[in-house]
Amino acid sequence: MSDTEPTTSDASTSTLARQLEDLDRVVYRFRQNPMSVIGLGIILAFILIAIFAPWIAPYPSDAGYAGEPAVHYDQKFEPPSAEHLFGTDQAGRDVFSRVLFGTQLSLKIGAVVLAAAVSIGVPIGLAAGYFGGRIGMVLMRITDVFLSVPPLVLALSVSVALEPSLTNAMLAIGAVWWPWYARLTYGEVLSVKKETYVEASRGVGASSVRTIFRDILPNVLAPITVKMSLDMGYAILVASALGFLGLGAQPPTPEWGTMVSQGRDYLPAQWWYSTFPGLAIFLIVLGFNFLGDGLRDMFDVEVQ
Amino acid sequence: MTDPILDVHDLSVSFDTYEGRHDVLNGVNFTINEGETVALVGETGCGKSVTARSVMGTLPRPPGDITSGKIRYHGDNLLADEDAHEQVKGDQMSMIFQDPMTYLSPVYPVGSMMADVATYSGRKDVSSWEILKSFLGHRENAEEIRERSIELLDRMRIPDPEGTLDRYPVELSGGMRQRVIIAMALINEPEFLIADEPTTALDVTVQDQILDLLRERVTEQNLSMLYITHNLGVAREIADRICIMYAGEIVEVGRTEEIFDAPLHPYTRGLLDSIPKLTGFEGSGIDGQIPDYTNPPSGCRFHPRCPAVMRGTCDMEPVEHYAVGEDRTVACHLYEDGMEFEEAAAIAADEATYDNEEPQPAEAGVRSKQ
Amino acid sequence: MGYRDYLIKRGLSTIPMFLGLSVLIFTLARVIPGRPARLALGPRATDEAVQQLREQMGLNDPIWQQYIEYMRGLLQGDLGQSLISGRNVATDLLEYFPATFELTTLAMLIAIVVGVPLGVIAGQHKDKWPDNASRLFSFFNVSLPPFWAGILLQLFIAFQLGWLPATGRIGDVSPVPVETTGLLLVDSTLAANSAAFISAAQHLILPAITLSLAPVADIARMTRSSFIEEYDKDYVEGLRTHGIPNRLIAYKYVLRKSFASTLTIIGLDYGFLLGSAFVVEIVFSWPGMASYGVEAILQKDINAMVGVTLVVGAAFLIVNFVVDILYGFFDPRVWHEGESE
Ligand SMILES: Nc1ncnc2c1ncn2[C@@H]1O[C@H](COP(=O)(O)OP(=O)(O)O)[C@@H](O)[C@H]1O
Ligand SMILES: [Mg+2]
Repeated sequence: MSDTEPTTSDASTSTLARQLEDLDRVVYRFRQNPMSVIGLGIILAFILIAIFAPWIAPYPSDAGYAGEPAVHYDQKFEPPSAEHLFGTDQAGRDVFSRVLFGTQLSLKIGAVVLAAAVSIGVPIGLAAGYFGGRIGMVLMRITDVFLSVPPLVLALSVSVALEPSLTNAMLAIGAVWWPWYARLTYGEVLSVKKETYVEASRGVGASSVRTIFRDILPNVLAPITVKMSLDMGYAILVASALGFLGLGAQPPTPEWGTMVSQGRDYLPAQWWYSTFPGLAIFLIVLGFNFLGDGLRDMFDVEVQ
Repeated sequence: MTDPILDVHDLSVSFDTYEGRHDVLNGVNFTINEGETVALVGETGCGKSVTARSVMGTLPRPPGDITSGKIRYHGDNLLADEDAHEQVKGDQMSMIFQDPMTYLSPVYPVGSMMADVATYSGRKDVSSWEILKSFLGHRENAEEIRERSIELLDRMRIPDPEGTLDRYPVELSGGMRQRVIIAMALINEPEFLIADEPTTALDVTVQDQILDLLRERVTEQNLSMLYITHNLGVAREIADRICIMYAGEIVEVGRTEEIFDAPLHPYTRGLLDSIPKLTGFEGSGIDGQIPDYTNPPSGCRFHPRCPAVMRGTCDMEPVEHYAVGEDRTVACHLYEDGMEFEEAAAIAADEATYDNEEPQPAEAGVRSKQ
Repeated sequence: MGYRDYLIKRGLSTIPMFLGLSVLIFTLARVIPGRPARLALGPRATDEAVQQLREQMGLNDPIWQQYIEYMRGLLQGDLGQSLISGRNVATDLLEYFPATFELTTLAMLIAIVVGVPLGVIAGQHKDKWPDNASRLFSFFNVSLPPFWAGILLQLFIAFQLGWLPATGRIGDVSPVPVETTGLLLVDSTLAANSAAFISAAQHLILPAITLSLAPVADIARMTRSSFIEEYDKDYVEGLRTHGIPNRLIAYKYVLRKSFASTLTIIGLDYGFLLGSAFVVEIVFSWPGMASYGVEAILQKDINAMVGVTLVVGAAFLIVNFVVDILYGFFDPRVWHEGESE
């Protein structure tokens, strides 16, 4: 609307006011979606648990806090009770405490995987989009090839070469996750490039690097943030699958996927052993999905 | 005189959007007699399509809302009985649209869509089995429907009617698509047809062909038709009577010749002015734009743009329809109750001399040009 | 451009993708570790033994030569020897792949049959309770770790209620179905062996449902949004104006067009499904490629792992090719492109 066009005298204040108003609307849109608020709540709760696990957990030593996880064979396979909310495992360890400590691992896995994916994918997408031409085409073709194998399978084949461990699982997943970010960044750069101001700033002799940082990067930030929050849950899911297959964290690390896998040997009698760690995975992934969806509405961006 | 086939009485329609409530139609009245073609003429955005959708019962609700009025078809109020409306819509009424590019499904050959209209029009529901059969192109009287379609396309002067049935819309030109759309609308032999600007999107030469075809169908099948256009010139070619619409109100009704010989309403005169003349010179028409429906002008909705506006009357007192002579009504404060036609025509001619005067400055409620 | 030209063009473009895929996997397997023979033999093997194995595996040749050798073998159906089974990897895969294929295909069928109507219903009732319910359901589905969902199903349906078997591919039936395709449902049908068919079907249900959960959600969401977009088109108004019943409009017209978009998601999801199959097969002790693949990874059997990845990647490419064929059928405009307008 033309009637909101600021006049010269109060241009800066009205820009600020408009930004605040925009922020207002953004927050409003976020709150309009009840799921996103629930998602935010779930994630905040998990973050608090991760930080305060040593104090909340009834038996921190069972989860390996300050040393190797303790064993109490005399208490093995106790069903859930007031003492052991989620029961105990085959070594008599408190499943509840271990699940709480697993939160730290899960958040760390998600963060490391995405950091790796973003720091490989975004520069590749930026380069491909910015330079275009032959370089761009080759880079995007390579990206497409990576995308032609399901991430979990590709992660598996990368992990052939590595010893099964949590670090290696994270590396393997990060190494196969970047193409999504390359694609996303590439698409955004192309659409930003179409807008004239990048052309304009090139015209006055701005260097490529400055153009990227000043004009392109801020524009790809929103979709990448949204994608990261949607992917966080999925990365945790894939990592727990590697753990479940015995290719990720090794027992007795209190990693959720590993715990579900261990518990599977004692089904159906000791059902709690697999059930509660799995529930934790489900909840944290659900939280990130809710949150990501809310962010998508909020920034009004399309990401796959 | 027999009862009219369609009688729209005091129809008001509003739309609720995030911008607020748009009171678009405001007490629309008109009738169409059997075998008659009536043109509904007005600028873009004045509510012609909303009127057509209300009659067809396809107004999206929400956001649309019919707040008052009756739509009588053969005397039955369709707004009172949704089932009857569905029934009439399927069996007796039909409609053709403005943009032939978008009114055909891109994913089926045109014959498939025609056959569905022939088979399922007016049906309440279909079973999953029938959906599957239709999808695979099986139907009971496929042969008969195909023949009927070919005959209709042939009457629409489509070359190779048989081959056309198996083509996709992308393979046909705009004019051909519009012919297909008309054929589809006629396949169930309706008695009443609404044509919503069917030639607007077409080339001038194609326009004339389509108008000829429509006229031919109307006489041969004794159709009654509501023909919608923003172009009075087109209306003259096809209509027996003309209803002039402005901002959701009918402002003048009359026989086609009368409207052209002696336009009464200042808006009608403005529209006549803007018909492209033979010289190709386009008259200036009327300054200003259709008002904002969230806050329509008080009194006569046309008064902010009216060259003959009377302060204190037009901007305050709501207008009524004044019968002027036989079969002629005009909603304008210039024409008092019970005026004879000659008298009215004299006033109109008198007012026309003021036409060169500057119109009043735009009032609140009128969007300024962007 | 006709439909046939479109298919040929699309089919040809799959070939470079497959070559790229083979290079990628080959590179991952041979270059990154750099010492597959050492890995295969373990840390205690003598250098001499390692050297010998390297020679035997052709690992001392230049990498491009190794790749050409590998591709030549591949074309002749030779994927190299598996260290675990001692057989040719191709032979192993031929044995394990049908089980995986049967499972993933059934799961995808379930996902389509459930997801598409769910999406249509959600689209028809946009922002009303059926839409919100379907949205919530979708969120739950994509957030479930497939292995955990499988375990829960086993606990409730198999162990608690005893309705279906918890593990395996077929029970003790006689006669055992003759193997022709390797797909038990097909083989038992061909042999008119109803006992085998029922047993195989019972074993399939739980793992197939587990696998279908996430694709159901994706397909429902995609169908919903493309349905809503398509339902807004003018021709829908035209059909409604002609008094065509809503169900016919929704399922014959709108869905056909929006199903084209759904198809692309289906292609993508089939890949994810092949990935999840790895964990789900383990949960249900399903004798498919996953157990073989996981074993290969743990035993550092590189030929086997390359073979598995290649088959999964190829399956994914083929499914996406099929998706494109169908896309052309559901939305003929992709190959009409450039004819008029
Ligand atoms: N679906 C709708 N939602 C909101 N407003 C509408 C809708 N359809 C029509 N309108 C309003 O009705 C007015 C008249 O529209 P229409 O009948 O299409 O005009 P026309 O005379 O050009 O056919 C428009 O200016 C618009 O404000
Ligand atoms: Mg219109």
